[in-house]
Amino acid sequence: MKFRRLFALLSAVMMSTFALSSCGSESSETSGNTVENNEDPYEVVILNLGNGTDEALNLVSDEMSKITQEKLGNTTVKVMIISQGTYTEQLNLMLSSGEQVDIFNTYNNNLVTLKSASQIIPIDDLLQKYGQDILANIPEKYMAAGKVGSEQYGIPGNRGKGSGIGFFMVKEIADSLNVDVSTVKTYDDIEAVLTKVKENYPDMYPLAPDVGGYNPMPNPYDKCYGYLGCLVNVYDGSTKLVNFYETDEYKEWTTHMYDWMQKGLVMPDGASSTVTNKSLMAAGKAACAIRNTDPLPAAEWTNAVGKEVVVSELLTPYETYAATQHAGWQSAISVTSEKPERAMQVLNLMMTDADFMNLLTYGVEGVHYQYKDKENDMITYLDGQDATSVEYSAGCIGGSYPGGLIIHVPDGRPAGYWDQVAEFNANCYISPAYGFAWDNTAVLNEQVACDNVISKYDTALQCGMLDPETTIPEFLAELEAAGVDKILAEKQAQFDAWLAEKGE
Amino acid sequence: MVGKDRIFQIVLHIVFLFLVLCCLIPFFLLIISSFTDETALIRQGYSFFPQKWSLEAYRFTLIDSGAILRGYSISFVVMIIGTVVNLLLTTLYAYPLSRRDLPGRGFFSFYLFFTMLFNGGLIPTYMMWVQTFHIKNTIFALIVPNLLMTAFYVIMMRTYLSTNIPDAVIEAARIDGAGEVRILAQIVLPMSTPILATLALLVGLGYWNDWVNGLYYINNEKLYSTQVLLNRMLMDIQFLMSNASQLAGAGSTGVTTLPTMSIKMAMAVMGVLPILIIYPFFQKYFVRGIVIGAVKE
Repeated sequence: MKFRRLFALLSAVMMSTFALSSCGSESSETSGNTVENNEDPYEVVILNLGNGTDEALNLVSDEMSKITQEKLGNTTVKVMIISQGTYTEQLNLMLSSGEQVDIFNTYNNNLVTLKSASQIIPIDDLLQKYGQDILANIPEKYMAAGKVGSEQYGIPGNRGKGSGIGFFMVKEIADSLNVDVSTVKTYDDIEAVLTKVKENYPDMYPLAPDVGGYNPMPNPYDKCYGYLGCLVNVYDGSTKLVNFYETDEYKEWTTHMYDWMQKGLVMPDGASSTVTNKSLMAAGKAACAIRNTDPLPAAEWTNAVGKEVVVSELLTPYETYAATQHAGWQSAISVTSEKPERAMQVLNLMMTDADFMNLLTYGVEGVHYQYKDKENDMITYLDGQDATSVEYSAGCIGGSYPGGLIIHVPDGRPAGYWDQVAEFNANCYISPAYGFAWDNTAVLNEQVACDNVISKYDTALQCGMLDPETTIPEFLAELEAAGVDKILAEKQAQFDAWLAEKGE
Repeated sequence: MVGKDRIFQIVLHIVFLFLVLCCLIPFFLLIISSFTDETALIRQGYSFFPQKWSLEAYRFTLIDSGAILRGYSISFVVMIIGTVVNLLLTTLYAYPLSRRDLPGRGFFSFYLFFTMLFNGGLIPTYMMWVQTFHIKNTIFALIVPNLLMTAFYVIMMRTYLSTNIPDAVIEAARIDGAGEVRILAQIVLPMSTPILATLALLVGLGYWNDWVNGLYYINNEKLYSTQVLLNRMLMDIQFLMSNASQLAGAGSTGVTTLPTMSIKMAMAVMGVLPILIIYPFFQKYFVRGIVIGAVKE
């Protein structure tokens, strides 16, 4: 423990040193450069999420540099790539050791955390000067997600901005039971369907949670970074943060799950499941699932399961909403950038230049992908390659950059997919807390204690393995002892301050 | 007496058989699962008697995916080079320390011991390796940091040498006209095969099982060793779990690329296989080389 603290102290000192040193350089660099007079050479390092070999990265970087040299003066690009599982560790090491990174994907990191670690810089001035295309194309309501206080730190990625919660069912089974899935809306509807499945397919789980027992409650809740102090129904416009586990909605949901478990309608031991419910469906072991939906959820599930899957959106009156849990994955400019203005120019280029974005996301045509349908801008892997063997794959992160909606349509998605995503975004209900960022440093001890309590009860409750009648009071008492009230008070105070600032 | 001994032997055997089974049964289950058909694995769960056998997982890992074979060769190269260099350095530090006539022995011992108590911490270490030595994304990143020499192993070897190699043997060699290098190479080393074998096994295992260096210093997927590959796979699963709401709408097709359960099992089997094969060969060295009758006091 002592060493850890010593190390934490040391690293804090180091980080602040870098923060200071780069603050100095930043103020001197940003004075009056325009795109045209970029005479001195500069290499913008883009840190990407995915997998790739050195050769592939060099090739992609070279091709991208050709575009920047043509459009942004003497600027070149170097793409670096980190596998998704190690991204947080490596990013943190690179930024705290002062390694040059210009643009990076914030991934799951809360912007407040990055800001308090002095790893990102405010970009308001840069946006005004060099980011006009971004300001013109990303609506203000979504830009708000990149703010900390009144300053802009991140540029939200352009992709599906929110999600709904849907009831998924294998179509074949629904048809054989004469179930019209689109009419399934309430808990009673779901129970009726599950009961039918159990009677006719006794060797199947009617309902199965996802890997690790993930089984989202069908309510439009906004987690607000961790359930304690969250909005349980964003549609009612309330700004009072509540304890998720104390709400009637949670009680109702877990009671239903427990009831269904008693009736044999739910997969037993769901909380420790190690397979996705999609693979369970594919193997013919599960019939239904409750899960987050994206634009065109049925197509995505059909593609993944290999059988036709139908879906009913469970939320009303709006089907989908955007909340704090959807606001991550932004692009930010690192504190270790030597010329942040060049980084911003590159980000601005991403907003409008489809070739540039396609290189970044999919690699080089003919080497890393090929056209499936050139007219509709649809692509697929080269013959004999797939997601695991392709030498450059950053396919899932196009959506963390400003130009996420101008790229090719990836394999498995229908023609005109991005238009549908844009329409989806236009229809998303925006949570009152969207863009709020939470700084938990003041209540770190309570947070850790509460997290331990939550991991003991929550998943098992949501998978129907514990009786909420007796367990929830126990659960709440333990949370109380762990200091949940302090977290709620602190979060509410920060939230109110944020709302007041936003209201101005 | 004989009867009592027998009962004792039988009880002992039963106890140890039980312990052995506790170790072996999960391992057999792992191997059988890797040969089970994926659909059967999900429907039936892990079982000693699968409904349907399949070589699909091995076909994928050995033929379809070049990554795993490449990981294998990286692991082997790193393990062999690493172990040889490590043993060389360890010996060259430990042997002088074991000699009572080494000038400044106290200082060198302390210098070594100090590194066991304090180290630079993660970020400074990272800065040193990446910015001074530029080992990021090279094979050296898997060989050099943390594993090249371990203070604990040096102390282990020093203790062995100072207790098992009698001063009289070294003295005798010197009287016969051998220089320091010759004493080390022809007298001391042949007498210390047990400790060398033990260390080689420990160090080799350390290299084979290491994934931390890969986590910090390797991004190039051509340099992923087996353990790094296995680790990334587990991380990818967690990534998919924790990013459900972000991935929705990011146009992701990555969800379908998760390796299936049987492939995970096959990779785990392939991960332990080389160690399983190497172990018996090392065992014989543990009992050899004991110094009996070398000196008549």
